[in-house]
Amino acid sequence: MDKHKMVYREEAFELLVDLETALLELEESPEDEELIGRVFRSLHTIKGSGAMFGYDDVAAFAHEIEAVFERVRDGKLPVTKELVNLSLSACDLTRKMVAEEKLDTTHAAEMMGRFREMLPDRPAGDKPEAAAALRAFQLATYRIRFHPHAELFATGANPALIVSEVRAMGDCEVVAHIADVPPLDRLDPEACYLRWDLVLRTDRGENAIEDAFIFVADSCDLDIQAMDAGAGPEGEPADFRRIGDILLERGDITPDALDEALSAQARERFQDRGAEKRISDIGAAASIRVPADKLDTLVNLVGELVTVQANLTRKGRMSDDPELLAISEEVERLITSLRENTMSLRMLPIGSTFQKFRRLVRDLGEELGKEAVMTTAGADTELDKTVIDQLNDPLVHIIRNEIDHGIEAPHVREALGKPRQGTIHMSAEHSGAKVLIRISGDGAGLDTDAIRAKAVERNLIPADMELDEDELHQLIFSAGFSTAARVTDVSGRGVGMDVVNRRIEALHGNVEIASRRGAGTTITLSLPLTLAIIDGLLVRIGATHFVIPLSAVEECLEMTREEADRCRDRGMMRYRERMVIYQSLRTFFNIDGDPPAIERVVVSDIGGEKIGFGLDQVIGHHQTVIKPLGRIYRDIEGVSGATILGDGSVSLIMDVHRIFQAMEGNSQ
Amino acid sequence: MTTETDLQAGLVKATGPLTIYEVAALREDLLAAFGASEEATLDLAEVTECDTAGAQLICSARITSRETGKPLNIRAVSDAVTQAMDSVGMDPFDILNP
Repeated sequence: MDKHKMVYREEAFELLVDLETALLELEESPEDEELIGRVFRSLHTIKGSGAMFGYDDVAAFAHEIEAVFERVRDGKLPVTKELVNLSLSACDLTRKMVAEEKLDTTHAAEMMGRFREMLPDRPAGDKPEAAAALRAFQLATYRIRFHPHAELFATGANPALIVSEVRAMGDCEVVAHIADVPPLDRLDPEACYLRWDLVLRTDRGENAIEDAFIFVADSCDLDIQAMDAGAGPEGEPADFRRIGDILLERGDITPDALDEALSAQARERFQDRGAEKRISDIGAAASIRVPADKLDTLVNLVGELVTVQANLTRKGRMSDDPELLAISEEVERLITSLRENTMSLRMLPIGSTFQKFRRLVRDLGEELGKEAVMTTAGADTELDKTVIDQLNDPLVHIIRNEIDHGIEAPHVREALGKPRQGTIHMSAEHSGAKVLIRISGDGAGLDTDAIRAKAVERNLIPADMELDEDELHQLIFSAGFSTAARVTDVSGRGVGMDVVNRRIEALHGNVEIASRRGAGTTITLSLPLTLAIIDGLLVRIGATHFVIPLSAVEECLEMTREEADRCRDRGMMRYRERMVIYQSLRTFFNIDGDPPAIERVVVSDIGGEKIGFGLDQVIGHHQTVIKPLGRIYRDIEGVSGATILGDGSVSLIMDVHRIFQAMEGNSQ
Repeated sequence: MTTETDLQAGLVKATGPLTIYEVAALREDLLAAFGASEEATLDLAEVTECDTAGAQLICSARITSRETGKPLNIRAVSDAVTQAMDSVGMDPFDILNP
């Protein structure tokens, strides 16, 4: 099932539970305005999001109930036991609609009719209306002419969904008329030229058919004609009528009594079936929502537990007690899976965030007369939920900036030999204990001259200051900086990149910018996997312990002192018949002392590039609770955090990517 | 959606989704193909998603072919396209292989 639909379903089930609770409380205190407000809001949300996710039947149904509670809220209708009962049954029916179960359509239409009766334009005493509602349950054939206006597609409506909804109501013939579709040269591809004739045989009544078109009512001409209303199914005589109608006609009962009897019957029928179902529904709830701070506490506790367990394991290994060792190993196994489970609770794939920007890119491009598409990679990269939530605004700013300032107008691009359509590429990948999110555009790149001129003009730098390209790029993150010659709606208010920088720093991440004039700009957001506990390899160099994230470790090797010396001199080593880069960590971290007779090498894979790190000893696997480094230590090269070892000492967590970058920087 | 075009041969191959967001681009490519060649060939084998706007565009290409007299060969069609046409009551056979 569609992920978004799943989220909607979960939310709708929760809202329905909330609605039920509110209704039950309302029964006790019918005057309580706050409760009425709560009911109204729940209904409104169910309706609104229902329509958004294609549950048009839910939306249409909730709309009727909402209209009734609007009157209740305005004091025009009292809260009666009957209303509460009816609303509770309506909750059950809505729950079924959301669960996409098979519905008793007669019952649904009837219930909708009963809510409609409470509305001012259909007063309860209006007998012909009530009788009409009953007749609507009979099987009838309708001819539906659906002539959308040209702007139908632009409203986001999908005629295929509407047509399939109508098809679902009964036997249906659909004929699409393509006569008005012009040839390509006269075609506005985003306008709708199609129109439809449908012939539907259904027992759901005209209102239900109209409801299928409720969200396109303003952008189409709709004509629904009953062709043989009153005819029974499969050759039954045309004067086939319901018992109620016959009794009514003979004067045996009053219309009021009939309505009451029918609704009581329906209510009983529904409640009987509903009760069992409801219990199983609650039992089968697939997920629950938990406040984020409770999760934080849990993660912290698990973190502490991991540290204690490391201590226990160490003690277990040191003692000669096999029983203690067995227990400590068992605890270690359990804590590992507890840790993995706990961490996964907070992780969400970033894909849904990416998806939101597809529309933004398109609309912005249109607004600015540019053509742009978005491509993505690594959508299933998981990131802490709080980080994902905070990413939205920065990403909007970056994308806006890129489309506004970066991507050139189509004719300019063509003149430059680029494709007409600009591309914004968003990617996400794990990089050690960080997640890198890159947004690159194949636009004009940063204009360093313009940046310098503007920075001088804004007094951000003195006119004679010497800055290299990178430093000039960094200036766009300064507060109040904007190089757009023209302030547009989209960007150019001079707050964008400044806000981006501050937001990402608040998440303990950083923003890097790389740009080549004429070729494009790549902005890299590097974000920590907050609260993370990672699997690490504990290693030692001299007396110092380091943790290398296990995800970065490919292989551990040994080397004699002489071999290691040769590798150190050349900066290269032989690995699987290939020469790869070698870096002694003793040299990198400036650790004193002599290397041992047999040196260990940990081979890492960094973006396809192999690199061997020379060190003294590989101690073993270590579950690492990442603790952030303080402000002062934050800029230390090659280290991303610290952890506390079982014996209480501190070990630094190596950032192999940064080490690699630093080495590349040195060699250039 | 990405398109590969070979204007000499009048060939347009669409890959990925063909929805309201992509129809404008494909229309340009098709117009170019009809303009540059005596017959146009449209390859829809790799279309992963198609909505009513996409179906309408293919329909318009067929109508263009009828009006200009230049043949339009739709040489491969993915299920997404046939389903999109089916679901709104268009006759896929009439539009795709007349």
